[in-house]
Amino acid sequence: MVIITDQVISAESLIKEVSCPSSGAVAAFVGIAREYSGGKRVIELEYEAYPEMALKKMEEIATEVRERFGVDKVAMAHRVGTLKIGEASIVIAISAPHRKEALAACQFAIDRVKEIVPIWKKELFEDGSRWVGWGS
Amino acid sequence: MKVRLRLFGAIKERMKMGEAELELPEGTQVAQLLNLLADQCPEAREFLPALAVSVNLEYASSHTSLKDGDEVGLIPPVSGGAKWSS
Repeated sequence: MVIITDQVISAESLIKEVSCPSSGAVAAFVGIAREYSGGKRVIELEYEAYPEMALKKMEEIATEVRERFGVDKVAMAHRVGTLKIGEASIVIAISAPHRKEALAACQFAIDRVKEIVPIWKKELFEDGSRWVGWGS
Repeated sequence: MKVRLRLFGAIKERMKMGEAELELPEGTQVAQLLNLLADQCPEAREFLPALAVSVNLEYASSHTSLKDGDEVGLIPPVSGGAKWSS
């Protein structure tokens, strides 16, 4: 299951989504809006997506993860719009028979999301803003 | 032929538009489209080399040829660093 939403996303609901009788483990990753970036205080974050392509890429990553790691279920939720500090921007939950596959798959999945999913983050400071990834 | 151009993030802000319909010669390649945009929008010129480009929701190379009805996305670097080959 992959979704993009402007609503608050929760690790708990994605963990429930992927839990199944054959899974002995669920690994979850939560990406959170953090207050300091490059030494400057962040007021809030804005996330923007190319929704059709982002969903397609997220589905591809879920398929890749299932094939590579032999896990049971994969769920990903990415939030768009304005986020306050402390709110979750992305949640990934992966279930598997054992913890080794679940944890490895989760690491792989978030790394892949950050490489290929067309979703962008803008940091708003007191004195301006910056699109992350640009010129860094 | 007509292609639909979609812009996002920093490039959308710089060019002040989210999408446009472009009339292009048959067989125009991605590289040629970017040159066209550089000519027409000098304010965006410095950003264009850093962009990835998608065609119909797939990452494309500079040599990808466009067809009538294609959707072309201008993809600024994503946070992990865009990895695509040209």
